[in-house]
Amino acid sequence: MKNKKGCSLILCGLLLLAAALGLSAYNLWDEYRAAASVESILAQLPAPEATPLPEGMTPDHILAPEMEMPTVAVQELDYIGTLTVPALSLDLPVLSQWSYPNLKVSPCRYAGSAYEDGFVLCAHNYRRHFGGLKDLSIGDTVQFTDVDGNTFDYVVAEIGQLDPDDTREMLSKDWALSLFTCTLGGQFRVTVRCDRAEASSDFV
Amino acid sequence: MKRTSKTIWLAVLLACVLTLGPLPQAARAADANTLTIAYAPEDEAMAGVTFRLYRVADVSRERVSATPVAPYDSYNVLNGSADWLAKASTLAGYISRDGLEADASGVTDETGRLTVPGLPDGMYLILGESQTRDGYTYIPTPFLLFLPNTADGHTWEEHVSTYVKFTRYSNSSPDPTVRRHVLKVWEDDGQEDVRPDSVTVDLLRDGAVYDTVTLSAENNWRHDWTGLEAGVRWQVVERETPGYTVSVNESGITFVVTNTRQDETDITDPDIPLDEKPPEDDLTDIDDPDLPLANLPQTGQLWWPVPLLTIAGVLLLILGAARRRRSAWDEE
Repeated sequence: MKNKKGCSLILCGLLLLAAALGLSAYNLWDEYRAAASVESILAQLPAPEATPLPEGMTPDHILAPEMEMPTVAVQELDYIGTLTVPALSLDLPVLSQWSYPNLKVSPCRYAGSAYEDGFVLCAHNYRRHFGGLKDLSIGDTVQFTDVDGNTFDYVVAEIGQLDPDDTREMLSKDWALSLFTCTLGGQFRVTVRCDRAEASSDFV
Repeated sequence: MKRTSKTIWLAVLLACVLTLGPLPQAARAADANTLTIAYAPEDEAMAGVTFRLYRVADVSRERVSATPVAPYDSYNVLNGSADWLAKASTLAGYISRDGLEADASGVTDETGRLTVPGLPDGMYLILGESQTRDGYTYIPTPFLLFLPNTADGHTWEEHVSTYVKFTRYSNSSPDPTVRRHVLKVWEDDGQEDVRPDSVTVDLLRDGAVYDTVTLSAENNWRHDWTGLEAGVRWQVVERETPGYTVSVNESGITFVVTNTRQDETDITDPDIPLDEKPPEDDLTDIDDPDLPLANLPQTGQLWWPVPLLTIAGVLLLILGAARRRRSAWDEE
């Protein structure tokens, strides 16, 4: 009888270990898939033409910062540009709108616009997405490039964590750019706040 | 002169709040106003320039307010929140496109002045014709003027003088063509779901429709015209977009066409008191601490069960092995 109970416990233990192994394998595969997805999109995003502005033309986003951010469609999804984080060796496409399916593909815009303060981007904590945000340091540089080729330079000013229901705080326009992702346990949101750096350039 | 002009513009700004019901009879001073226009680009009087006056709104001296009149009330321009220069420029486009008749007109004399007497109370749009001088084409900037005019809302001046601003471009450019760019902007607090899928804009060449394009998310709400003839006047007007006011701001070669969502309440509703702001309860304010917002999205992979499953699995294995061993000892 005791022998039978012992066998059952061993079987249950093996099942749990198999579940842990399976979940780890799925997560690792998902990481790999997400990294491949980002690479594939970056390869397909058309490079903006770095042509000087025609005479008498002011960049649209300066004339009308409240304008919609222009988008480019890749694989039937609309992208607003790319995010570069040199300290993490990250170069990431950014989707125009967030949704759970979109987050599996690429970082997404959560709110706002690069042309005004309060621009908020979110991504999964895949290592190839925002998994390394917590490793950034104050003063690290971040750059966003829109699909027209306008670049917006930022400097990391604060790194912290917010509760999942701190939406109002996340949307604060006190910061030019905010990046966030989940902590490993999923209980909090690692939040990187950025101020605008001085130099930005404009192309059409 | 500049001081007078500032006074005039202050009065126009005071008239920003449009309203409201029939004009009191006492305010209808018949044809009592005289307007003097001075046009001297770069401090040199320009003679022979035709200016046209369009009476676009009734005005009330009592309330320093204006009510758009037909046919200008159909353009959804004057009741918008754009600045008055943008409203003037936008209306000028519609008037050119639709070939509307002016209420008065005249030509500047050798001193660059034009005096128009006998004007009834009203808000006037003043448009001037382009003129070429010394290799440049000068275009008078359209503007709106409140007649009679006031600086303080109490004292009214029936004899008003104003000077006209201008833009100019060189006719000696080696490139015989020009480029124009249009950009659509929505001011609707992000209410994308109620926006039309597209809008139609006309490019006018000296007032006549030259090209028509559709702006939508597919072309990022913008369009470029290249290879256009230089030396003519290019304007952009948007065809009516119900539920939105429209304004067109021209800056360099770009026309920014802004559609502003109209409140559900009608600004011409006589029950709305002038200058009264809407109740704060009606405003959606992200800073309102009581406004419920959705939680931030869950952006983590499911790693937390892995250590738990592993620890539990190992414990069960140990427990199971211990039981089996004890069972084996018991059997021995």
